[in-house]
This record gives sequence, structure tokens and C-alpha cells, in this order.
Amino acid sequence: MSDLHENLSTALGAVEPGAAPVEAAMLAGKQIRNRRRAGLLAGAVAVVVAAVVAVPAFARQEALPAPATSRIRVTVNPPGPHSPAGLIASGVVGNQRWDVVVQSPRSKSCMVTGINLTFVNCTGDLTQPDAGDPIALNGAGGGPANGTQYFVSYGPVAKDVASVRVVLADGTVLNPRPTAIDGARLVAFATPEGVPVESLTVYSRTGEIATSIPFNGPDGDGLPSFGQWLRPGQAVPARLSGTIASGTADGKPWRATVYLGPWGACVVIGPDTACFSPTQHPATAAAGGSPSDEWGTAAQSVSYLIVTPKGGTPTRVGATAVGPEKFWAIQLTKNEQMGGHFTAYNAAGQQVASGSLL
Amino acid sequence: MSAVSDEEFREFMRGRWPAMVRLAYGLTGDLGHAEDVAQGAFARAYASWERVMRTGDPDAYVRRIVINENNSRFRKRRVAERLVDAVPEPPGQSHVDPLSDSEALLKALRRLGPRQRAVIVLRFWMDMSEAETAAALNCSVGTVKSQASRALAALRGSAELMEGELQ
Repeated sequence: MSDLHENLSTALGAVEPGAAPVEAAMLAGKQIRNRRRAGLLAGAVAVVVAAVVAVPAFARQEALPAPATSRIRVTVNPPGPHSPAGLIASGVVGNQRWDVVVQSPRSKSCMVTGINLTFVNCTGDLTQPDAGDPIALNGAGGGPANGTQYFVSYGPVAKDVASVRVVLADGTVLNPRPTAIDGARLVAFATPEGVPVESLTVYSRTGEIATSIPFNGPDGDGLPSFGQWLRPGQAVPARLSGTIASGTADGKPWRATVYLGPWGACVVIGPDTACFSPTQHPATAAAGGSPSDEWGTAAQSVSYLIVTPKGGTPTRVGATAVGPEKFWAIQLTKNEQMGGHFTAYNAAGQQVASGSLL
Repeated sequence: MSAVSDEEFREFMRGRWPAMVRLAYGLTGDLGHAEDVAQGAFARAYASWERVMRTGDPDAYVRRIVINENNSRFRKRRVAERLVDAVPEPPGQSHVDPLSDSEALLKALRRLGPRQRAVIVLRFWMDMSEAETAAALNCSVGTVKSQASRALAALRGSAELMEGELQ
């Protein structure tokens, strides 16, 4: 038996991998975090962001900063007559070509991006976005080790969407066209790292359907989070932010910050960002988390919560207001896992709600 | 993610990349797939890097993901892999000892079905116990035993060559 072990060691030791694609793995990791957050938020209780300011037209939202002097060239092209089957779109970012292909058209499930970004994402049925959303975007990030890093966003559009307009922070305007593939209508576009999406507007044949102003994170260089769609004439929520919790866990400091705005509500805890659409009345609930943290919303009557993560001990957590809403968050220690339960109390110490952690 | 954490991750990935690709190669039998699986595993580790570091053994974490990623891969490719059961070159025709010649051993590994290949790599290269291998592959100890037996028989090529060595 030891001979087999030694021979396997010799044989596999002779396998010479290429250079470690460190930067590509890190960008893919960021994308995984975004996808994980999206999944966690699927059942999240939404929060109404009531603070609004009237904005007569989205044209004003597209009042853009002066284009950078060294703007990176970005293009998006629909498939041509000789394009490979399943191609949604292709183009360039800087001097890098990109494309997005549906790998398995029959199941409409696996998206593959390249050329310098190898990423496969199987997302299931892509024929329609969720009800009420004109478009559902997923994304990936990558690029060559010494070249322009970029993000690719892709997804299905609703049946009535005829065109899409994407405005980047440097003034670049992209017009990805829906491509019909095996019954689905899909769009894809790419953006350079560090040049966030300013807005994305979808149009029917007769006019604007909705605009989303994404949350690009505190550093503004990651994948855009399209948390909310605003209809023409709809008041745009004001931008507010505030720290809802901070402390140390396993000797490391942490902080949780909530950003309210036209994207909805986004919670940033360390490297994690989670956004959701404020379409329902506020409630007290666990609304998101990662292997490192748990967070949620709280009704106005809630003063504090006792949160007990799986494998952990009960912890008292304050409900903190940001604008008109309340949130709470905890950082998990190394002995604690996602899941568990919470109980919410008012200022008099009376229990007002309870539930499970995600 | 802080700049310090990012640098920790870069250093870790550069150092452990070859080992993880070799493990993935043993499991997949294809260098391209191996690099994809390893890259995906490192990406997943980076997605939870601070959490991974707290475990104190990031190597074990990534190794675990590589094995899981491969499990997912062969679940998805089960039908395609079944077609490989008709081995194009019967191993018995080779006069090279497949278990002592690296090239022959790798070739023989590639001919195995995905689960048999995984059992061989985990059980006889990673030195996992039968129970650990069963847990890693989400199957019973009995399945590990039977798959190992069949895989070893296939690897031998001609039974008389390796008689006794694999007992």
C-alpha cells in the first residue's frame, strides 16, 4: 500500500500547474460573496425607506461627473450571424475581450464568461426575472493578472423590455440589446473595475419602464447591486447612512453600516454587502448574514434583541435607527455558526417578536 | 477585506496552488478541470477568508472545498462519465507496470470512473481512512471498499503484475 502512496506522490508531484491565478480567484471570491448575499436575501423582510425627495426626472440622476481623462474603452456588441451558439454579447474592456455564453441552452442554466475571465455560473431557469423586476442581473469579476480587471453583469429581461441603457461613472453609455436564446431574452455587459455603474434604465417600445441606481459599495469598485427599481416619476429615496453596530470578535474589530438610498437598503459588514428592495412594511426579522455575521431589521417598538447563534451563547444586541428604520447586527465568533434564533424586546423589557436566524 | 488579509490570501494561494491543483488533478484526471476546480476552491476560500483564517487550518478548508467541488462536478457529469466505462485501450495490453510508472499510473487513473478515481486519491494518496473517505464522498464505507477494490483491480492492469502489492 505504501508503494501505491509513493507512486501516486511521484506521479501527481510531476504534474506542473500553471501560475496561480490569484487575482482572478480573488475577484471570483468577491462575486461569490455577492451571490451568497443575494441568496440569503431571497427571503428577507423588506424595509420601507420612507424618506424621499422629489426628483422630477431620472435625467438629473444621470448628471454625471466629468469623464476621466484616461477613460477605459468599453464596448458591448450583440451576436452576429457567425457568432457561436449561445452568445449573449461580447465586447472589449480596455484591450481585453470579453463575452458571455449560455453554455447549456436547453436548460438555460450555465453562463460562461471569457476570454480572460473563466467563470461558470449555473443559475437555473433564466427565462424571466422575478415578478415586478424588468431585469435580473448576476455578475462575475476577473481579468488577466497584469491587465484590466473587469466585471461582467448578465441576466434575463422581462418580455416587454426592448432596450437597456447603462451609464457608467466616467460618462460611458452602453446599450446592451436583449438576445433571444432558446426562449429566454438575455443581456450582458462589462464594466472596468473602479468605474461603477451610475444607473441602468430599461425601456419598452413605448418608453421608460424603470431605472435602477445601484449601490456600488463604500469603495465603489465592486459589482453593482441593483436592489430596487424606480418607475418614471417615482420619488427617489434620500441617501442616508449610519453605523448600526460595532465591536470586536475573536480580537478583531468589526463594524456594520447601513446605507439607504435609491438602491434600497444595503448593509455593509466588513467585506460583505447585502442589498434589498424596500417594498414592504418594516418588521422584526433576521434578514441576512454570512459565515461571519448575522443582521436584520427591527420594528420601531424594538429596543433590543437577545440573539443566540448556533453554537453560541445569548447576546444582547441594540436595535439602531438609521433614518426611519431600525437594524441590528452581530459578528459571529469562531465557535458560532449561522443559524439559531432571536427574541426582540421593547424598552420595558416585554417580548415583542421572535424568530430564527438565517 | 483589508489589505493585510488580501496579502495573506495571495501568499497562501501562491504557496498552496500547486498542491491543490495536484489533488484536483488526481480527482478529475484532467489538468484543465483541475485548475478550474482549484481556482474555484480558492475563490470560495477568499469569499470567507477571515472566517477561514479563524479555523486555524486554511489548507484543510481549501482541500475540503476541492473535494466537494469535484463531488459536484461528477454528479453533474454522471451520464458523460458512464460512457467512459468502455475503456478504449484495455489496460491488460500494457506491459508497463501502471503503479510504478508515473505516466502509466496517471493514464490509468484517468481511465477510472470519477468516484473510483476519488477513492484512490483520497484513500491511498491523502491517506484518509475508509470512514473519512466515505464522509468526504458522501457515500457509505461499503461503497468506498467496493469502489477501492474495483479501482485497484483496474489499476493493476494485469493482475499478476501487482499481486500482493495492493493487499
